[in-house]
Amino acid sequence: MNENDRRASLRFGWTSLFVGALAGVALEGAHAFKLASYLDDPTTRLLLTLAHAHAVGLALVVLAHAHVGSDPRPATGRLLRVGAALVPIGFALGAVAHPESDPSIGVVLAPLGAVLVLVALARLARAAWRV
Amino acid sequence: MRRALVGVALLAVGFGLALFAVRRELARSVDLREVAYVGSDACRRCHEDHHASWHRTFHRTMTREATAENVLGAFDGRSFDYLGWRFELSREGDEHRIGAQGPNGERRDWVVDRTVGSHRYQQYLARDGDTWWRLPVAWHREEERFFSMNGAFLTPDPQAPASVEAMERHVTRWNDNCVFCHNVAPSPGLRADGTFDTEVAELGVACEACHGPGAEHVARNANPLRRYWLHYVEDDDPTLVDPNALSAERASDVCGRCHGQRKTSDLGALLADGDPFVPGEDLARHSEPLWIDTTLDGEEIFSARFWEDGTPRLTAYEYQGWLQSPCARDASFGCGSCHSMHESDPAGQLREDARGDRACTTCHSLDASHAAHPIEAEVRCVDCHMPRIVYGVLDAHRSHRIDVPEPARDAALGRPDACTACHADRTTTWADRARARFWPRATTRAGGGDRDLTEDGTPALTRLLLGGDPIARALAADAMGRAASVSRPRARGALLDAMANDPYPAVRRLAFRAWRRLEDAPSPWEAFDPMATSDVRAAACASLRATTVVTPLDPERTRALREHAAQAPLWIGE
Repeated sequence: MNENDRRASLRFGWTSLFVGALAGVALEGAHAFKLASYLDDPTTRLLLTLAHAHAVGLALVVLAHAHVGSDPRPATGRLLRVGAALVPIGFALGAVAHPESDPSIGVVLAPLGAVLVLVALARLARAAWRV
Repeated sequence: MRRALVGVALLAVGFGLALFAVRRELARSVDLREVAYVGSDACRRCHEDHHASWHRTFHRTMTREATAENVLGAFDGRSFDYLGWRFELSREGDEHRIGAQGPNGERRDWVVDRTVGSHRYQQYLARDGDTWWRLPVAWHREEERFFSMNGAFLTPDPQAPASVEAMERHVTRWNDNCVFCHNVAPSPGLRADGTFDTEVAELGVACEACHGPGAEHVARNANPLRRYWLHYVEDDDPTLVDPNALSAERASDVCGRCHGQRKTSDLGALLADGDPFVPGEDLARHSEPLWIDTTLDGEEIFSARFWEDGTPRLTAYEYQGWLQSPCARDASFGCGSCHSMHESDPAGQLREDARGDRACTTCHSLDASHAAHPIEAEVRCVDCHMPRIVYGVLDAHRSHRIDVPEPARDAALGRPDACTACHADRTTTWADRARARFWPRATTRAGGGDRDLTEDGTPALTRLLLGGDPIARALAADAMGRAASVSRPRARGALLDAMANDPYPAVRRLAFRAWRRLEDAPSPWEAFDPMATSDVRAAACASLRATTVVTPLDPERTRALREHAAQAPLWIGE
C-alpha cells in the first residue's frame, strides 16, 4: 500500500469514527431529553441508528485497512472509503422527510455504498489469499 | 474499466425495464371485489402512523374477542337486580360468565365469547354453535356499572317481575344483525337450512373496511421500485382505495354504508354471501338509504326513526342527514369535510382543522346577521345549525341535517329546537319572537308538524320532557343538563319527575345524567338506578330532592303533559 493511500485511509477512518461517535452521543441525547421527533418516529430512529452504527463500524474497517490492508492497489482503498462514506450518509438522508415507514429517496446511497464496500472487501479477501 | 461500464449499462437497462413494468402495472385497474383481505396487522408494517391513529378509535373496538384485556366490565363477582332477576357477573381465568336467576326459579348462564362496542357501553355476545347472541346485560363505561339492555333502547319497562321473554327482549342474533356494520367484509353465510357459516375478514371496523381488500396492495408493494414511484411520482395506487382521493360523494358512501341505515334489493344474497359493496363503488348499486316513507312489505315501518319532516332522529342515519343538508349540494362537501379516521380525536372523529367553527367558516362567513345574536365564546355554529335532536346509544347527538333554527316549526314537529335547548327556561313563543327580531329575513322550510302550539308559560324543554314522545323526552332531558341558561331548581323539578315516573328507562337514565350535570358536586351514579322499580326510584328521588333546592312542578300541568306523552308510545330496538 502506498503512503498516500494509507494516509487517506487514516484521515478518513479517524474522522469518520469521530463523526460516527458524535452521532452516537447525539442519539443518546435524543433519548435522554426525550426528543419526540426522534423517539416517536420508528423509521427515523432505525435509520439514524443504522447511520451511526455503520459510520463507526466502517470507519474501523477503513482503519484496519490502513494498518493491515492486504491489497496494495489504491483503487481498493478508494472503493472502501467511498463506500464507507455513502452507507451512513444514505441512512442519514433516508431519515429526512421520509414517507410513512419507508426511507426517503436519499437512502439509495446506502445500497450503492454497500456494493462499493463489498467489492473492496472482495478485493482485499482475494489479495489476502494470494499473500 | 470496460467490464465496469458494461455492468453499469446492464444495470441501467434493467432498472429502466423494471420502471417500465411498474408504470404499466400501475396503469391497469384492479377489480377489488376479486381481491382477498389481509387484516390490519399487514397494514401496520408499512403504515404505522395510520395504524396507530386508527388504533385509537372506537371503530377498532366495535367487535372483539372476549379476552381479559378487551372486556371492560367488572366481572368481579358482583351482581345486580332487574325486575325480579338477579344477574351475576364473574370471571374464571379468561372466561367471563353471566348468570341470571329469575323470579320463578328460571336460570340462564352464558359465557361471554365476544364484545361489541366500547365507547359508551360494551355489549356481550355468547356463542351457541354457529351463532352468536347478544346478551341481555351491558357495561356502562361512564357509570361503571352493568345494566339490562332493556334500558339501552327506546322501549318501555316490562311488567315486574319480568318474564324470561321480557328479560331477553333485546337478545338478538349477531350473525345477521350486528355483524354488518361492526366488522370488515361481513358475510352471515346463511344456509338454506337456516344455519350459519358467518365469516368476517377482521373483527371490528379496520383498515380494509374503508380502503378495500389489501392482498394485492401488500403483494405488489413488496417491490420497492413501485413504492418509491408511488411516493415521489404519482400516488394513485389501483390496488387500494384512498377515500381522500375519492369524490365527496363516493367517499361519503364509504361512511354511509354503516352510518346510513339501508335497504338492500336482494336480502337473500346479502344474508347468504354478505355485503357486496367495496369502497370506491357507488353505494346505490347495492342498497338504498331508509327514509321516512321507505316501505317493507308495503308498510312504512321505518317512519318512527324520523321526525315528521323526514329528519333522522336516530344515530346511524347521519348519511341521510348529510344528503338532506343544503351544504351537500356543494359537490365537494361530504363526511370527510368535518370527519377523519386518522387526523381526529376518537370521540367524535372531528378533523383537527374542522374544530370550533372552522368546518363552517371554510365556506360561510359570520356576517352581520349573525352578530345580532350575542354569540358567546362557547356557542358554536353547530349548536344552532346541528342541534342535538338525534338519539342513540344512550346519548343525544347532533343532527347531521344542517338546518336553520325554526322554533315554531320544531315545536310543531314535537322536537327540541336549538334556541330553547340552550335557553331552557324559555317558551317556543319567546324563541320564535327572538328569532324574528334577530333574523327578520331568515328563511323557513316547509314540512312542519301539526302539534298544538298553545302555550301556558311552561318552558318548551319542560313541555317536551314531560309531554313529548320518548325520543323527544330523552333529548329534552339531555338538553336540560347541557343548557347554558337554565333555572336549576325548575329543571331539577322536571328531571326528578322524569326520573321517577317516565316509563322509558333510557329517558330516566339521561334525566339522571342531566341532574348530575346540574349539581355542583355530582351525586354518585349509585344514587339512582334508572332500571330500578318505581318504588325504589321514588325513594332515590326523594333522597336526591333532599340534597338541594327543587322547584316542584304544577301537578295539573304535569298530569296533562304526561297524558299527552302516553299517546305517543315508541318501540325501537335499534
